[in-house]
Amino acid sequence: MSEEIDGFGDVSSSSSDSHDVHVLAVDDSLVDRKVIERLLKITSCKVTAVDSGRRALQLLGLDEEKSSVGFHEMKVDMIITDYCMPGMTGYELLKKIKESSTFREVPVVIMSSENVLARIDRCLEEGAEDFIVKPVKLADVKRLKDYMFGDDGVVSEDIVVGGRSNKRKLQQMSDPYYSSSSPSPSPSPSSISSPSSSLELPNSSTPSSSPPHSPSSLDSPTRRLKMTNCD
Amino acid sequence: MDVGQLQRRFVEYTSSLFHEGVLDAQFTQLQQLQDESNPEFVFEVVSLFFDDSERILNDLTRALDQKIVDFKNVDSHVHQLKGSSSSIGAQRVKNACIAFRNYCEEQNTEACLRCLQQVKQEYSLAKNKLDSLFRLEQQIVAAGGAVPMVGC
Repeated sequence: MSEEIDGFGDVSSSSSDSHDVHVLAVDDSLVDRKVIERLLKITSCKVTAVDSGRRALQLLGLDEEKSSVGFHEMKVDMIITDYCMPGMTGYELLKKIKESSTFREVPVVIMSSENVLARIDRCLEEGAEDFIVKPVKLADVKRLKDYMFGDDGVVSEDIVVGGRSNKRKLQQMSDPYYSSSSPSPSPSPSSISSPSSSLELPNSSTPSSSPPHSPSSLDSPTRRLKMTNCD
Repeated sequence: MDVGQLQRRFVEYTSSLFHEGVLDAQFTQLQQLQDESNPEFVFEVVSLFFDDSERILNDLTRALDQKIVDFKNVDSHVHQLKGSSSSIGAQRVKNACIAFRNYCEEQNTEACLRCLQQVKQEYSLAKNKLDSLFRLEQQIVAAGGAVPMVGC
């Protein structure tokens, strides 16, 4: 499902809502894949579910064995992966993603059945956005989606500078296609933007530098609870 | 039996499964993910769980039958089963797996064999109960009724 961003037409072929968050889910367990897929779909995300870190890297065009020339890189807004997997662990996958210039900004969430503080720390230190203890619940996925992407999906008109919840939106705006004089963070030639890209924006309104208001909860109580393990 | 009776039976049966600890809150989570757009979700996931579990239990039987038992291998199978049973809310199966893993660590073949028996028993129980539950559901739907939501 490659999306060519060279026209002004509808970029997303399958979904009517081209602002859907696209999540790559990685888990070697068939049961867990089915559950996480459903959890994500019910929270209005597009999902690609794979059974291994290797497969995930292939899809992202990061597999060293396969040349990425001519290979359409998948665009993802978030990667959620199991920790314990045969072959490549979720931790190893996380490291590979963070080493990649194209995908290092994509939030990676780790899932694990073992609530081990040392493991959580390692993952967060390596750049994981969050750590979910299995079994994964609807509240977990909703919380993730809300604080990463706000409640209306990805790019929106009234983007305001600042605020952690808008961090992803800002990075998407630094896409080279977007012509703006906004004080965005240093543009990285990343292909992490959502399929809708910035061509879908109705106008090139410059984000104001007014005081940020955070629409979504930055530090929801649940998140704080989960993070206390790292204190 | 009319729809009302079937529904009451369903509620009672589901409640008893929660009470007996056969199912836990995660099962309720799955039920919440089922709707008109995905009316068979729970059945589908649980079916996957059954297939997966049967495969794992066979692998475990074979692994513990070896002259020299590879406990790391055994443990990894049990870990898988623990994970999937946890994901669908099959609490007693999950707990049996947790106990099992402790003996894997001790590399105690006899104890592991006993654990395997225990896990098989809990699995059979869960399977029978869930099969009955799905049958009840089908009867309700066939009679034109809605399947009640039962929390734990």
